[in-house]
Amino acid sequence: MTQEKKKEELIRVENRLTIDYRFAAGPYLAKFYTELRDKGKLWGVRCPKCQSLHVPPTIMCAPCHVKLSEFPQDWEELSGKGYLDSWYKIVTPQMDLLGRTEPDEYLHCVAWLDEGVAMYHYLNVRPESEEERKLQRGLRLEMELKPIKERVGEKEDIKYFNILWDEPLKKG
Amino acid sequence: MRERVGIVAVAQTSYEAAHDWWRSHELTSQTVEKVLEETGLNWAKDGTGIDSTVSCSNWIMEGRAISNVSHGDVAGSHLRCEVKVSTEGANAVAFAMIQILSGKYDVILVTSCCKESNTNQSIVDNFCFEPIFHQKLGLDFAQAAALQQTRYMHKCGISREQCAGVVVKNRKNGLRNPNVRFSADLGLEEVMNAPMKAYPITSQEIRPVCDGACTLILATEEKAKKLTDRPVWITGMGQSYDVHFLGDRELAESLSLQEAAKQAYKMAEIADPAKELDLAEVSEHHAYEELLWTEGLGLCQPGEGGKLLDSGATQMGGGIPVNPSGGVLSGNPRLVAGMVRVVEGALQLREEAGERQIDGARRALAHGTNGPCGQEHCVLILEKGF
Amino acid sequence: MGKRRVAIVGLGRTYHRTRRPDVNIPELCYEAAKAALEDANLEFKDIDAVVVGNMEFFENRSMTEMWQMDHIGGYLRSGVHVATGGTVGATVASTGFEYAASGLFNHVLALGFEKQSEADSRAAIRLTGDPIIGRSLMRAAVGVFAQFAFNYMLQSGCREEHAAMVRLRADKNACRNPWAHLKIGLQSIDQILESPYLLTPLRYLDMCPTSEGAAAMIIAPEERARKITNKPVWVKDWEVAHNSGSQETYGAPLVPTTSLTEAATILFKRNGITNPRRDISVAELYTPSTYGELLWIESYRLCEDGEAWKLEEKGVFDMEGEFPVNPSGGVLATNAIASTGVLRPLECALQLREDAGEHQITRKPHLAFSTGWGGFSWTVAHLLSNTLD
Repeated sequence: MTQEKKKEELIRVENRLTIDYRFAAGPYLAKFYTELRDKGKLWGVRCPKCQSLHVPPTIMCAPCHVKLSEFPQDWEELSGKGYLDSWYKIVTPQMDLLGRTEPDEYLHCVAWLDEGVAMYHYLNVRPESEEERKLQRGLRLEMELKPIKERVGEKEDIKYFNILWDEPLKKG
Repeated sequence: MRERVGIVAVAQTSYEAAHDWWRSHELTSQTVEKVLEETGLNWAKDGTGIDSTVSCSNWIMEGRAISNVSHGDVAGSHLRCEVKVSTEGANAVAFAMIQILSGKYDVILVTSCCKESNTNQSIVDNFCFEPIFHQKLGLDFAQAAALQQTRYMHKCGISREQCAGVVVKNRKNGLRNPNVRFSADLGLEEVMNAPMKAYPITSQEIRPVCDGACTLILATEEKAKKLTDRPVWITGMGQSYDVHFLGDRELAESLSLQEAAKQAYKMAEIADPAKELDLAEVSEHHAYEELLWTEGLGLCQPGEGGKLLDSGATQMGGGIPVNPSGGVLSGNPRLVAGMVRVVEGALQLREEAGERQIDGARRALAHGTNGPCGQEHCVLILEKGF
Repeated sequence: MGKRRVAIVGLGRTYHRTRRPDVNIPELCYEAAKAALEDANLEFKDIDAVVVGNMEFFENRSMTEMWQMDHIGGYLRSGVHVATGGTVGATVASTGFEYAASGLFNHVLALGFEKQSEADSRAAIRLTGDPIIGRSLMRAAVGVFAQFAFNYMLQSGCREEHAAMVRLRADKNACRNPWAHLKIGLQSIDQILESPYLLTPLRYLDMCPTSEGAAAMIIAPEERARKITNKPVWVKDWEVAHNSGSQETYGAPLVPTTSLTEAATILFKRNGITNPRRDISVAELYTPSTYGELLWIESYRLCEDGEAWKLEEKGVFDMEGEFPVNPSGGVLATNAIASTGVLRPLECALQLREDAGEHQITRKPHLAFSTGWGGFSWTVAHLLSNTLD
């Protein structure tokens, strides 16, 4: 009986879901991206109740349940400077949304910006480099944008965070 | 005697062909703001505010896995309870009602949003079908509906004119509804001669692609009486699933709808729905569905949905007006459509339905359906509470 | 809790494997549903309502419950499909409790399943990112856990060997659980410390596998529960807390654990639990990562901040220990997301009934704590008991 079962063919049906989407950016993100693309400016919106900064701007401060204002009220420009909080290196390449698996050129990091908000992006340090070995928490970072011709209005308009090696470490 | 559950506030956005300016959670936010303002409720966790949120959205339609992440932010889910149901809007209301009946929560905010313009709905439909047989046929819900309509017409003698008549009636009703965008004064010929989508269904006989959101707040009887002087009680609820394989069903009747209606009528103690209801808001995603659902709901004898329409009973001034709001055909997005039926039913009973008001309405039926050929149905009975 | 008390009266599950090519989704669910019904001595016709959960997209389906509803007793019955991200299994359980407590249903089937080999679940996870911000930068869920690991090690002094201890405990437990998926047979933490990294500081062994399987429970209100079984597992209470995802990206400190603390604090206070490791007999936590487990044991207030790795060193969380955590092997051994979510209260129920066989804890069980975790640090926490007091 078991022998017969093994010979049974398991039919597999192949399928591919390819589906296009069009998303509205909404007034908050649309403004955020157009400012980034056209003027190279990074904006956040501050919650009037808890004073936390939201980057990128969003319609509501979820913990406060308070609606945040559209540009320009409560919007603040960010310097793009901050400190290195944590980082990691993708050792095993992961597939991207278009099905390509390529090793990451740069490390990923979380940066604590001076304005008190965290941002997650690339770090201008290549895996397995000398610089990677020197990484520590508190290193001063500065954001670098792509040249204006290459900016299209997406998160990657920010190229990566550069480490300012000569500046003092932030303690704590 | 079970304590009743009441609707204390409702809100909806307009249903545009594409809400291109707003993101989906920003649409939800607009409706949430309105209901909070109306009731004065906040998000306090001590029993004085909203205890929990039920959101209704679908990952594949939103294009985002865990689609309620963004909706939750605007519907108060931070450090609080929220559940996302991935069924149809009416079932989400039933779900919230069950949560209240369980005694776990007293006041629940129920919200639903869908932006159909985000993506190709036919592909979304196709991926609902099981992948081994139906999906390979390239079915979407319109084509499945075409199969159902053909069977229904053949078995019960329904004509294409009668199906088109539903469109004419509902889109005309929709002219009195400021929220819908596909209302019009059409003629039968216009509907039947429109480009064919899936024979015998023309493009005028299908729910148009829309974006929108709606929200309502449910509460226990005790709290409802404090929150509003115009409560609407949900006195009956029924919900049921049918088999998935289209070939396993008699498509010309809807057993799951009959079951759902039976449950709802039993709970609401309704013996003769056509007489005891003042109006019915049913979800007709395709024109013939209204005829078939009126049969399943027991508003007429089996096979006589067409006759019911012809008799004029389901018109605005008739004995059992169906879809005074204009129905889904006037433009409601899927998933939200069932909840809109509940909202419209509640508006009627609260005497807030404006030009589409049915005078003296005391009891309404709201219905939602999901899945191919109405695989799932949910029926709610609403009663005026003042 | 609530007007009517409810109990878990039947449990059932499938074996969890990397792939189950021999069954399709409804057949997989049927196995679990049938097992649960047999355990409760009931039949499919007895089911009044079906609560189904899974991660949509993970099987490349939309409206996922349509296909299998009628295969698991849902034909002409009520039901609902919930999909709340990683917490879906735990939500299926709590929804099942609510359905049973509503007074409308007598036998509720709560089922979670996942058949991840049928689609690309990593791609699907990447879709949790906001479509307009940062989705391209997301690297599946592991990025979050790398963050947890990084921060936990810095804050508490925990070292990589402690994470290895967590994996060793999970593996030893899993080897005693015939239903678990990953059973490596590890003997020492050195084997783990020599294994390759996935994403620093996480190793492959610090993360859970992707499994396929289904798990189901039958839940009934009090009057029915007593007639069905003489070992009902009472649902004492549960609490849900979500967390804002408004940071629009997917990485700590953007994914804090305040929601876990919130849910646990409220739950314990409401139920008079003042000393969790004494008052609670066993915990089945939804922890997809070793560092995560240590951090969350603290977040759920089961021990003080910075203490979890020290208690791990002392063997407090072992099966024979003072406060067993994940005696089934946990999520580290088996992760078919929705199914694993249901498995947490299911394993607790098994322990409370003293039916866990080889992986029964040594301590006499009275009260069990099970959790779900998902999304942006959402959590659902349940308290189950084998007595009604």
